[in-house]
Order: sequence, then structure tokens, then C-alpha cells
Amino acid sequence: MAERYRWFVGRLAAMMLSLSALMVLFCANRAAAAQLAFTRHQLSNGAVLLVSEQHAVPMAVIQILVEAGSRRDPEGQEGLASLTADLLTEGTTKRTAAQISEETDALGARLSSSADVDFAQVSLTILSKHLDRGLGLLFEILMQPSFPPQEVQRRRKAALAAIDAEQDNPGELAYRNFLRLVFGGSPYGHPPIGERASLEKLKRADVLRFYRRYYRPRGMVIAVTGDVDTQAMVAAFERALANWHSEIVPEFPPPVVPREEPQAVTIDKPLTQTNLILGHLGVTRDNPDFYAISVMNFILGGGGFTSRLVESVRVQGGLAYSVGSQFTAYKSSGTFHIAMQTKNASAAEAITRACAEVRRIRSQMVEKEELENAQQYLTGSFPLRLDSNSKVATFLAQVEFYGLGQDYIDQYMQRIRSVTREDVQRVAQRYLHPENLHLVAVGNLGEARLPSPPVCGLPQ
Amino acid sequence: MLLLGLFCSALLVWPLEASGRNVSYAARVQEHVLPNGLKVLLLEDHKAPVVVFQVWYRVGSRNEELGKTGLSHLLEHLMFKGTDKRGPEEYSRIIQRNGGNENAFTDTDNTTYFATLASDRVEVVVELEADRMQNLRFDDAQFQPEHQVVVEERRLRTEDNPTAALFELLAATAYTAHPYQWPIIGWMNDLQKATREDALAYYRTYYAPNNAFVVAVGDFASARLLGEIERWFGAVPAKPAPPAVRAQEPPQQGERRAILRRPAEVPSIAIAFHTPNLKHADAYALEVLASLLGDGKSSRLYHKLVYQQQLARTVGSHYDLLTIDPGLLYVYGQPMPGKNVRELERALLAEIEELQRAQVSASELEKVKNNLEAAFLLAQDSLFYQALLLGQYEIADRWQRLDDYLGGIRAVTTDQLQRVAREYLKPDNRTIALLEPIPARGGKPAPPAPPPGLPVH
Repeated sequence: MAERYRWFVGRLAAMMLSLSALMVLFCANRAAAAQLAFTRHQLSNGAVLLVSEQHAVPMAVIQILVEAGSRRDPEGQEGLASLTADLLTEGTTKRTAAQISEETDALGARLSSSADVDFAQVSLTILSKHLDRGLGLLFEILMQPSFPPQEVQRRRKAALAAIDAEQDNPGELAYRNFLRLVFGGSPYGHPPIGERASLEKLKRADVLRFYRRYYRPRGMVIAVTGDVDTQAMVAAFERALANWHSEIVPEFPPPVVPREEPQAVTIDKPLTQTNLILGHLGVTRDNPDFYAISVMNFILGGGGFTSRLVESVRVQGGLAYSVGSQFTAYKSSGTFHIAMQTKNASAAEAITRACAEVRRIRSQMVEKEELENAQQYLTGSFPLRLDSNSKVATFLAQVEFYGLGQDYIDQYMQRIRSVTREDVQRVAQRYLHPENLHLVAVGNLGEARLPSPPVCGLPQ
Repeated sequence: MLLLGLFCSALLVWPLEASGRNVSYAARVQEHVLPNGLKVLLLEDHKAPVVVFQVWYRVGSRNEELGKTGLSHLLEHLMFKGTDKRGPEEYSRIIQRNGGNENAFTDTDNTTYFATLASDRVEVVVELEADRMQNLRFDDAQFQPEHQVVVEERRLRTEDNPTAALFELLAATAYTAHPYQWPIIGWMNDLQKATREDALAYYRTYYAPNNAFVVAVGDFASARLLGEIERWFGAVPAKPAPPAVRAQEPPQQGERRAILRRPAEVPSIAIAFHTPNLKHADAYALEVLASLLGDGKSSRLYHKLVYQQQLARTVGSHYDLLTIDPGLLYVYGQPMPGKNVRELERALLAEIEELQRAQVSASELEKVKNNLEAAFLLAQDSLFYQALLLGQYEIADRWQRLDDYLGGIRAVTTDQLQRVAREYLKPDNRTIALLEPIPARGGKPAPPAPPPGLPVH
């Protein structure tokens, strides 16, 4: 699709390339919790429907999550989940791709389908006056995609072209290589778009097989927010999905990942900056330490302008515009990584500073004030995460998908508030391993004098 | 004492939405002007317990001069470095402690600071913004590293981003006499030579209540929030009006071309035409034209060049509706692998010629209008975006012009579309910039990914 040609020059771009929304730190307070009224409905075919009526704006947002993300890519078919999701809007048994686009644009709707890592998502944003027509389109692409052969070829070529274009995006290139380092050939080891070699070979039959296997109402999550009537929505989805048969989706075996020997991948390009990623294996979303980790990482490098990494690398060092750390927690695995870009000549210094912060949060307890700041932000910013229909839809869908429970908001608040300074140090020691950090560097290797692994030196 | 809020009713009769919600901004926005000249726009929206608070300064790269480009944005960064009362980065810490998000951006015509907070915390940011409007303070120890951060930002955004570098060259070629010719972040040389004194002088000239306005959107009681704003901002002294920008771009007389040859993987093309903006009667026709070309998968450029011909990987269009001085209408794209960028250029120009040659059908026009109208209404989902729109309209002309938008779009005819296509999208009025990749010097191919560890079953 078209890209916006113009960016504002701002103080901070998006902190990190996040391929997963899981680090969206859901949080709550009582007032806000009261704001999020929603109902949960188990449909007869196994799908779960969540509806939150918000009548302020005459619009609706529908987000559907299907357990058909890129982690389901068969080995050697990396990119299949993404290709399948992309093709949903490119033809149905009733409409051609062009007719779908025409209808969408004529309604002024936003319709999209794409694969993330743990799930594929189909979403529709539409004015309420067109809701019925929009739903018709949505049901059609979800249940009756036809995967026309020429469309399969077109989208496959588009994906290949996008992979070519990654060469001009050092951050993306670095992240792709980071995933490969951490996960090797296991299902989490590639970005959803896939790989050149596998895309070259994908066929329509593969797409059909993938669709039939994973696009199932059982386990599917549908979140609807906006100017809608709950009962009417329940009836509409019941009716529309009634004849969609449901088989059990195959279990996902936990991925076997390579033993963690810290390694480096360096890619030489004539750039003025070196793009750096330091990271290793992380945690799954259901890890009981997830909340303590959220607080710890907020202090280390997740907390906007006040994190320790920003303070050291950016504010004190003047070395990078964007620096941060992130735990990306998937259903069956996860990563921790630090990302930054700095002029080639200061790559080594930036790494040294980042390593020092990883070591410090393990060796010394954080200040009381740092802990309180993190807790106050994580709990107090909750209303900001739910101030639009699209944010509410995303929130409801993901809380359900990851099985976080209907009382998640309250649970989150309590868990974040109960984290102690000792907890922060404990999870830092348990989940951060400076001697095991992989390094990915994309930049001018002649100018950047990079350390060899282990980049943070040996255990001290 | 206050001037009374202006409740002018919109000229058009507004259809109430089915929900009974009045979509007119004039009916919902309160405007006040403090004695020191600070304008305040308040839009109550109680759908979530959140307030977006923005301070807009009427200064951007448009106000700069050659040799000192990039100062507006550099100052934006320095605005977080403390005041007489507060230490470096303390602004961010206070907002964060109150569960808020904050940031800022610089554009050609404005510099905007914004925070989003839970409704019961909005006073915090009012006081902080009033403080830094008049008491900014930073010494060399803060200036030097932040200066380097901005240089790194330019490396990240432009030096190492071939497409951004191409758009920079396009503007520098399309404009000859107007400050829109240089990038918002500034030329690298100017940026590197900027001094602390430059930034402070800039601050003293442009940062004043009479050269700024406040926009708040969200869950607040107007009277009470206005009271807070008066309390904190009311005491900020007005300053002499900053120097006006006198520059005017002369009419273009003949196509201009620019070639960017640099290491890159994918070629690209960007074309720009000089166009009038919101202040001109042709603005809505140009808005419709840009949308017809590039919005959505059924748009002309996407459907024909990406979908049918498979000639382009990406295409797009953009029209500068909201600028102080006349801006540009852009079309741009990247070819698919194996396709030539010159071929894509011909195809893009052919689509434009088609608009000059044949009238758009009534049904296509209707589709584009519906799409623009829906986008305008869907924007109300976001408090932040509503505040952004109010600010952008106020900068470009007057915020009340927001209420002309839907009517203006609706009134566009097929005749008018053809006329503006002929008048503005003509060859003599265009600038074409091409990115032609050259092989990286000594560029080694990327080493193969390391072998996977254990086999996966």
C-alpha cells in the first residue's frame, strides 16, 4: 500500500520495532475499569464474541483474531500464514479482489487482514450506517475466500518485493537476523512475511491447506466496539458463523530453540549509523513473572524518556535518538532485546553503555522512586489505552486471546502494585543474561569497531 | 478578563448523525483569547476519562533561514531540558508519574507539544507548559548531548533512508525562493553548526503566548480547565510579534528534474506539483483529486499500477491542504523488482494525463467523496487526532474552517476535477525526482545467517 510521504520530525519515533502487541502494557484503575463495559458471549460453534457498546461516535470497529499466525508456518514454508491472511481480501466465492476494494472504499471503510506471530487478524472500521454491508463483506472474506491463482502469485511477488525492500531498512534487516539468531529454524525464527527461499516455492495448494486447517471458529476471538447493539451483534455472528464447521486446531508444540551461545551477525552497508540489536530468549506471556518483568523493563529501557537506557545512551551520551529495551512475550516463547542506532564510530561505546545498564539492574536494587514511578505510570496510564474504539477492540481481543481473564484489569493493577524492589532484582537476575546477549549490527563495519561475542564480556 | 467565546454557527445546515451527535466543530468548540494573546480552544468529549492537551507555537522550519535551518526542531528537543524551576527531563518524569504520555513534533509551520493524561491529572501539564513557555533554561552540559541526539536523528531519518532523502531533494528542487525548500530537520551542515545561543535566541523570538495557542480535547469541564489555563498562562508576558515570513514562491515555468544517485536497493520516484491550499477555492477539488489517485486499493494508482500492471510495489499521493503558504501535490511510488523506475514515471504521468483528458464518472467521484467523508468522521474516534486537526486548521487558516470540509468535498464536480487537473498538474508545473541506486562501494553481501542450532521437529 501507499506509504505516507511525510513524517513529522518529532522528539521520539516509535521506540522499538514491535512485531507483537503483547508488550502493550495493559493497566487499569477503578475509574477506567468502570468505563470499559463489555459482555462476553460463547457462540455455539466455539468462537468467543466480546462486545463493548460505545455510542459516542457513529462508527464500529470489529477485530477478529484467529490462531493462524506465523508461528504456524510449516518448516520450509515461512511466510505462508502471512500470505494466507493477505489473500483473504483478494477474492471470495462471490466477489473479485477489485470488487472487494471498490465496496470497501465506497463505504469509506477500513478493511485489513494480516498475520502477526501468534495470530492472524482481520479488522474492519466502519461508519455505523454501513455496518450491515460491512459485516457482509467481513463474513465473506473470513469464510469464503477463494484464493484465485493469479492473486496468489501477485501477493507472493509483493511479499518477495517487500523482502527486497528490507535492504533499505536497516532496523528491519537487523530484527530479521535477530530472530534467526535466537530461534534458529524454529517457528518463531522469522518475521511473519517469511523468507525469500520459502516464498519462492509457495503454491496455492499450500495456502488452501493452511486456510482449511487453521481458520476455524473454535478458538477464534471477535471483539466489537462502537455504536452497535449487543444482542443484534450476537445474533448476527451466531447466524453468520452457524454453518462454519469447527474442528480442533492442532496443538502447537513448544518450539525447540537452539542452545544459547552468544553469536554475532554483522552486515556491512554504506550507512552513517550502525543499527544494533542485543538480545536473547525471553519469556512466554503466561509466565507468572510477566508483571515484575514489565516493571523491571520499564525502568531499564521500556519507559519512554525516563528509562535508564535513554538516560545513559541518549541524555548523557548523546549517542542515539532512539534506544530502548523490550520483552516480547508470545504464547509459547519470547525474546528480550535492546535496539538502538548510533553513528558508526560510537557503536562500541553505545554497546558498552547498554551492557553497563543490564549489569547494574541485576547487581543493585533499583531506587524506591524508580519503582514507584514505574508503578504509577503503568497503572495510571490505563485510561489512555482505552480512549478510542480501535484501542478498546484491540485490548478486548488480546486479553481474550491470551486467556488473561475477565478480571484482567483489576488483576493487572494488583500485580503491578505488588512488585517490590527485591522482585525487580530477582527477575533481572533471572531473565537478563549479559554474558549471553547475541549481537546484530547493520552498518559500516569498517567504521564501527564492534566487540566480538560475548559483547558484554564474561560473567563478572 | 476574557473575550467571549465565539460561537459562530456553521454556514451549512448540518445533518445530525443517527446518534443525534452534532458533527459541527463550531457548535462544540469553545474559543477564548487571554489578554496576553494566547488563544485557547476547548472541545469537551466525555467518551473516555482522558484529556489531550496541546500547545501549538506558530513557528516551524518556514521561519528559519539558510545556514540556520533545523533550529525549530532543535529547540523542540531543548524544551525538555528544564526551566528555572525544573531540572533536565523533569517535565517527562512528572507527566509519567501522573500516568501520562508526552511528546512533541515540528512541522514546516508549527511546533507542537502534547500530553495525554487521565482527566483528573490535566492541571499538571497546564502548569508545566506555562512554565516552559517563558522560563526555559539549559546550559552547555545539556545542550551538547541533545545537539548530538538531533544529529543522530537526522542520520536515522534521512541520511540512511533513501526514500526520505529523495523527498528532501524533491522539495529542494520544487521550491526556489521559499523556506519550504529545506527539510524540517535542517541540512546536516546547518544542524552541526547550530549553537546554544542560536537556540536561545530563537526561543526568545518565537515562544510567547501571542505566538501560540492551546488545544484541549477530552473529558473536562471547560470553565474549570479555562480557569487553570488562565491561572498559569495568564501571567506569561506577551512579546513583540515575531518577524513575518515574506518569501513567496514564483510560478514555475517548466519541468524540473532531480536525480539522486546513492547506495540503495530499491529505486523510487516522487513527483510534485505546486498547488494552492485551503485558502483557495480549488482546495477541495485538489483534495478529492489526490484521494482519487491514491487513497485505498480501488484508487487509480493502486488499482492500475500495483494491482493490474504489477509495475509498482508501492504508490501514493498526498496533497498539502493545511499549510500556511501554498504547498505541493505529490504522487510517488517504488517499482516492483525487475521493473524500471522510468517506466513507472511514464505510468504515473499517464494516470495524470488521463484525468486531464477524460472526465471522472459520477460513481467514481461519489466513491471518493464517501471515502473522504468517512475518514473525516472516523477521525472522531481519536481524541488526539481531533486536537491535531483543530491545531492544523488553526495554523493553516482558522479552526472554524474544519466545518467547511464536508460541504466543500461534497460540492466538487467532475468539471472542476478536470479543470484543476489541467491547471495544476501540467508538465510546466511539475518537479520529478528519481532515486537511482548505485551499488554499495565495497559492499559485501550479507553473510549467511548462522546455522540453526538443533533440528526442529
